[in-house]
Amino acid sequence: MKKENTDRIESYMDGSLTASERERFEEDLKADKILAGEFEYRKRIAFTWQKAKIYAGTKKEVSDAIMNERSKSKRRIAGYSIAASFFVITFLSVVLLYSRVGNHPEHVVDNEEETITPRFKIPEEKASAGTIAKFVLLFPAGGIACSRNDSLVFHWSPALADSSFIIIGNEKSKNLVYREKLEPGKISFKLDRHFLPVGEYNWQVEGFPANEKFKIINK
Amino acid sequence: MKIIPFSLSHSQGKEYNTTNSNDEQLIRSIMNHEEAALRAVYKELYQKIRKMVYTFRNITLDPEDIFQEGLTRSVMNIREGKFRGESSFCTYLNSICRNICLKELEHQKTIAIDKRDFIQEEYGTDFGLLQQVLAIRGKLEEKCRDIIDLRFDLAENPSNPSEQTMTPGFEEIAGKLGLTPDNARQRFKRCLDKLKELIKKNPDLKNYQP
Repeated sequence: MKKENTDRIESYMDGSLTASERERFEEDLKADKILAGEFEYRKRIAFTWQKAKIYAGTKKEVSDAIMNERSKSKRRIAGYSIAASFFVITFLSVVLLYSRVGNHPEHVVDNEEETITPRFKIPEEKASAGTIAKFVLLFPAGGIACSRNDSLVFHWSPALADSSFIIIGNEKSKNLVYREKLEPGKISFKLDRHFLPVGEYNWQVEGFPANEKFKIINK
Repeated sequence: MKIIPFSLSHSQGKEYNTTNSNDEQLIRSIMNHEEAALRAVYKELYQKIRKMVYTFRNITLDPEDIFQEGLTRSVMNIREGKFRGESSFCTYLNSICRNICLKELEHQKTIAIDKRDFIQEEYGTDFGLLQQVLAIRGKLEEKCRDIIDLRFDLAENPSNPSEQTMTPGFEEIAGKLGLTPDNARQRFKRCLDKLKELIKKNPDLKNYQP
């Protein structure tokens, strides 16, 4: 490509040629195929360059719109998820509340009149709160004779709320024969066979007034 | 931004509608660069295009990329007045995306494509060429890109290379870049030579050169 051709083309393109130079250039374009080819190529490059820039701009515009629509959809889905979660949590809370309280009034229909008695299921610890169940030694009791060859299981009721001690004493000498710690919740205590010699005994759980007698015999 | 409740004219399994008032509204909004129009197109037509893309088993391109490219081409054609409204916008976009898929498969050489498989739309623009030129533009130095951008700033919307308006002069360009007119002229000539060289080296642009 001739250097002067490039200069003339650029000057023609930006209108910096004089009227006579411009006229001569247009005449040369008709006569000189190389110059005409270069001129067309220069115009084509500029045109494609411009169009490529428009294409890039449009592509960005489309891409931004798609991204915005996608993020909007994501936000919408997140909103629905939060609303659904809130609904589920609320629903479960209500169900849980009703199931725990169980306060559906029960209609007890009588022949003559209808009485509505709400029944609350009260947990055990609350039910027994403020009342002291009588502590009873169940076995051995009343001077019962037990074989020395059998193991001996002591029973009482109710279960111990706190730790205590089982105390076994000799009925005649009033001496302490055996004392062992009892853990809370216990309702029985086992002594192995042959542990106690033949004789008469009494036993009690420390902290409670109840006291019962029993005998150990050879049998 | 104005939100337009578009309802695009398309019906699956039936003959596509011809352009109706909804399409006309959509075209107007695309011409006016309203983002809501493009968002509506994505929302309503993306799944349909995605299904169409998945009918081509061996295609390696992502359906979303094909949709984006198809929509870009459609928008450019609409703005250049090349969409004549002989089919619905949905059909038009679908055929452009389908052609992109076929071109890609042809490029991958996975199938032999009969030219008749390509659905004819008023393309006019060689988008492959534009992609190549953009790639070359990316290879140029920023200084070169800037001066070529200013010098080639011919008209706002060039539609025909033979109807170009006057190119901005070097005095004007020099003022914008803080150079002397002579320096601007020299830099432009150097950059234009580089651009021509890169075009010459690109085997895909053989037919583009003089």
